[in-house]
Amino acid sequence: MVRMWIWILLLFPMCEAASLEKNIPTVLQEAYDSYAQGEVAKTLSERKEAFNRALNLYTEMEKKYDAEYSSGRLYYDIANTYFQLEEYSWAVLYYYRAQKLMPREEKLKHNLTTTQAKLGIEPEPDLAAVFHLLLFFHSYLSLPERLQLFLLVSLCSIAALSAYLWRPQRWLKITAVVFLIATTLLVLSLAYTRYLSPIEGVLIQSTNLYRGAGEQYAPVSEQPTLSGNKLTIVEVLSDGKWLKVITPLGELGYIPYAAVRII
Amino acid sequence: MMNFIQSVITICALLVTLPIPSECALWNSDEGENVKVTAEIDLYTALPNQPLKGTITITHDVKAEVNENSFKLEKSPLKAEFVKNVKISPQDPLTISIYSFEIPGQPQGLYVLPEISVEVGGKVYSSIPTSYEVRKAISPPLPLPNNKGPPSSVSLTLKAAVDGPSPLYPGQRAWMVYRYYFNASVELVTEKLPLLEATGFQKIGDKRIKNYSEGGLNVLEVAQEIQAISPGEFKFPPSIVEGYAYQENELKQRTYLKPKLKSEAPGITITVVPFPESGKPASFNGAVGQFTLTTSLLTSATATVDEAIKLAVDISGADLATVKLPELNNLKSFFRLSDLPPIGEVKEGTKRFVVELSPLSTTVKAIPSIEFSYFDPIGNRYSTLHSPPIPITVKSDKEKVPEKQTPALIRPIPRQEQAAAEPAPIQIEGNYLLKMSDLQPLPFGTWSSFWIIPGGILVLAAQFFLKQEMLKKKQTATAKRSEDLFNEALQAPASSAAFFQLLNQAFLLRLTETGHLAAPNGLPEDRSRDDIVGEVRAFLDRIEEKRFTGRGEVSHETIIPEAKELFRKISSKKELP
Repeated sequence: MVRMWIWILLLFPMCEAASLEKNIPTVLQEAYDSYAQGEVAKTLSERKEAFNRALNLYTEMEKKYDAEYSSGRLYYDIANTYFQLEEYSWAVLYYYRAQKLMPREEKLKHNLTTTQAKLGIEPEPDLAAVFHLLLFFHSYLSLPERLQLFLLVSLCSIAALSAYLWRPQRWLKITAVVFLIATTLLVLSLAYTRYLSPIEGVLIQSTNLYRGAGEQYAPVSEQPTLSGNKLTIVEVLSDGKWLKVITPLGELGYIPYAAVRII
Repeated sequence: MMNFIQSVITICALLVTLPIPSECALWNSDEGENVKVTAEIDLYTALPNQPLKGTITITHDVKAEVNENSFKLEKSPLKAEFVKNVKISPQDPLTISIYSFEIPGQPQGLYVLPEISVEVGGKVYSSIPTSYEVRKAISPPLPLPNNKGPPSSVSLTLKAAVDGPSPLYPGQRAWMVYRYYFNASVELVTEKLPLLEATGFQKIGDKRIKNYSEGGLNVLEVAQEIQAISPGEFKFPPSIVEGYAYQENELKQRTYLKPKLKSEAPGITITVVPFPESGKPASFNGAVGQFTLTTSLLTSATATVDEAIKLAVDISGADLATVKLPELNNLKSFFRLSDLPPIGEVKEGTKRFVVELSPLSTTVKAIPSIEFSYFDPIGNRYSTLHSPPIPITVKSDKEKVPEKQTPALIRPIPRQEQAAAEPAPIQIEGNYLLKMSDLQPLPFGTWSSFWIIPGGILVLAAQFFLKQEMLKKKQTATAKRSEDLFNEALQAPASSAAFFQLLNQAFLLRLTETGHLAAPNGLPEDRSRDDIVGEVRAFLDRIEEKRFTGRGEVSHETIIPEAKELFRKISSKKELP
């Protein structure tokens, strides 16, 4: 009897986990269906209800799974849902998150541009052509893709070096050198992404840009910085309550942390 | 007169060098560079229609050179003359460069000095625009006796004070004030002014500097407005200034007078008391003082649903710095408020908040009463004020409003009809149907892929050492070959051709393995060699001679011991590399 209970106690969590795993595709399907319902809704209230239902399900998935190294489609779907609910600044945030993982996706760029137009924000200019061409892989491939490519190229380097070790032939040496160069370039690209690339965020609520870390300081300009703008975060101050940022116009100032979300 | 002006400029210049954050500058800190540019007009010489003199102070690393030809006032070039460099401390790499400039005179009035930019270390930095006043000449301070030198007794006195209510409540403001009393030009060498650092308080704006005379002495007043943040007792240590009086001749050379002047102001304790908890109204949000509350409409009292109505909330009283917009939660059931909360504007003793309200339906008949609570420190009690409700009329969009016709192409839709309205067409591409794989990281698409580097190094190293081992074994196997041949020879019958052939091959191979011969093709012809090769040759020749001449016995017993001895001798002579 005791043994039976022990088996039940051991097996129960496994069954629970298995059933949760089985439910996820159902949840994803339900979210997709809700979104589709929202697109074909006949009234505003039906549309809002359907999109809100889809958004709840998507954000639940986001909390449960760390999608930072995933395909980016979850972020894309969340961004679309926010757009449909007219929460444009949140849509811009999630489009940027998705763009990091899906840099070549044309419809994402189109949706982001449409959202920015709603907010009256100019789209970002493309990188200089020469720079883009020379380091195409850095912006053409997402971080997870570059990591996969790095692994593949490293394995090829190891294989080529191993072959050269056993059969010291010229063509094997050249092959090994080529793969090593490719590996080095990828390592540099990944190191830049990890250590040198700027931290960026999106303003989710309009706020003044202050001269100091506090509301008693004068604003940098009379016009507040509008939500949806992408900012470069330079420093975190005052126990994390204020951020020193650079706006797209190149203005340097301080904003409250609660107004920004990191991409 | 000149001595007085010089002492003011000296003291002001030294105060600017204090390590106190200033509101008049923008720190351009970027990975280690600390460059600060401030510019101000000398208020004492700001007389109507006379050239205005100013000072530019640049704090920078001593290695970052200032390009003196790069000064610009807004976008126009500005000529600036170098005055001096002041090192903050011998260990600190920062130095302060001071320049003077002049701009054309202006009539009496209040002006803004635009930003002045300068190139420092190859980068351009700018000061923040500041305001200045051009006013009629004020009476100069009392001239010093003789006007040619300092009085017989030179004095320097420092007084510290806190101007404001006592005790303070959180949110209330006061001024931390230092007054220097002096009767000669003094160059300060030490200044410890803890009140200006205002630890535990929030500084409001920049320091205020005033000059005047009092009782025959010149007075320089430096004050900083502060705001209390949290309750507590804040003790500030004594303040100290030290310096030397000096005289300047026509060539601007200074002669310092002894003894050193020193003045100490006693320490000050500021108490910030908490608001009493008993009797605190729910609507209290930090206002301290005595106030009155009035509300009024800035737009028509008749509006349509969702049309913005502007309501002015005026709070009058003394200490308006502590006044914030009252809570408007009771309005949210009837009105939609604007996203950005209004910032109050202070004018003539009244702080006005303009609130935008949009009625949610036609059933709204009035703007409800607004509650505002404040704490009266004199009576030590809370008071609550209520504004009277303001009747309004809200019509649906179908009824025209005669006073206010908005020539808009899109009419606002009443909220109750919005829900049933047809939605706008879809403007963006649709969603993806997600799969489990979309929620999880890409295979090997995480930073753990970097483990391939140490793994690869290990694999290559293992292969390298394996190869080395294999080479060694091959050589060891080769070494056994000569032994195998020798053992085979010993097994063969003593007088058989195979015995001699195997013996010959064994010796030749052994000599080759041990490096005595280049190849096991044959022994060298030279019979005079007395090394091991010669010994082997002699041995083999003896055997051949006995075989073919029949002289002497050729048997295992006679040959093998010698052969073994010689074979062993070869092995011990030279080892394999």
